Amino acid sequence: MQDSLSDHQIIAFVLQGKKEAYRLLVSRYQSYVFSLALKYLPVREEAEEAAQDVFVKAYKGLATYRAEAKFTTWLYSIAYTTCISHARKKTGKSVSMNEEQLLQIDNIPLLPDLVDRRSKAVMLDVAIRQLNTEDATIVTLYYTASQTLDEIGRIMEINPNAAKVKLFRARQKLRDILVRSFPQELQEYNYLKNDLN
Amino acid sequence: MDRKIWALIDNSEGSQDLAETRKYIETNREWEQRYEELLMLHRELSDIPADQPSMRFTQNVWEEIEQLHTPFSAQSYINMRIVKGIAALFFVIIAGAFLYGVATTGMSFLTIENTRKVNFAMDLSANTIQLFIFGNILLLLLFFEKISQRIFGKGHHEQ
Repeated sequence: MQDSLSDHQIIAFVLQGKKEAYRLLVSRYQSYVFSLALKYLPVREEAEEAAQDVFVKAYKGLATYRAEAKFTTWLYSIAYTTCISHARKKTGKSVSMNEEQLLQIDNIPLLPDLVDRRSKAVMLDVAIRQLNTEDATIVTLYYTASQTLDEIGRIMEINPNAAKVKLFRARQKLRDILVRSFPQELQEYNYLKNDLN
Repeated sequence: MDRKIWALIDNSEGSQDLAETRKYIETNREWEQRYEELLMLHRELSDIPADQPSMRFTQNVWEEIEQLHTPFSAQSYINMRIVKGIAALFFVIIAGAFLYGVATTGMSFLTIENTRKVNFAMDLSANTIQLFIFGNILLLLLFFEKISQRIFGKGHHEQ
């Protein structure tokens, strides 16, 4: 079986009884589902458990999937509800990053050739983790999982306009966090000039 | 300002509004600077790679899925002929009961011209009723035969 098969072709194979085809869907989308799960469950093992649960649920419900929506939108809506329910079970544990974790990230040793790329990524990662879960989810769905505002609306069961407003607010907050937490680094990157000058 | 610039970056507004924003960016230094900043943030966010789960992730999911049955599409096991058969059976029974009721109540009314009296009462002999019941039993038997064919046929196919 080739990796070039479309999601719909793979689903058709699975429904015909070729279970192995489902592996392709898992390997294709595991990182996106896992990224989403990490927004609700910062402990990697817990996020992985939730992501596995998402794929098992999607498999069980595959026959109910209707091709009107993209498979990813359907999968991420399962991921969204599953992660919320997993996070609820873990009540009492903080979803946002604590001070100790932030210090650990600040002290990550960087190789010279990776400094620029990696430090920007780390900076953004730290900033995203300081967002609340809903804002982090919307940013992840829009940028990492490449979902449109309409699709985000479907996943989070809100209308597309509300998704647009939420995305706007999340990005503004992200920008504020970056300006507040990384003024020196931003100056080095000639980034967010208005706020730093 | 930020809202308009984000709308331009996302291409999420009407072309007239976007053209207006573009004009501001071209003519106003402050707008231009803010546009560059937000565009840079947008590009950086787009470049963030997805987090990778452990190497065993796919295998763990697979181990769970191996214990499950293949998900069946509802369309594959719902036979529309059977559904229509059930509907026809109910229709015949209801129609039969209605006709029987009308025939035995002795209800009558006058036609519009008041010239002729219509009487629904029919002479339902024991034979007519038996024939009706026999017809229904025949339909039921046909229906059960279809269902058993479907069940045993599928069981045989799976073996």
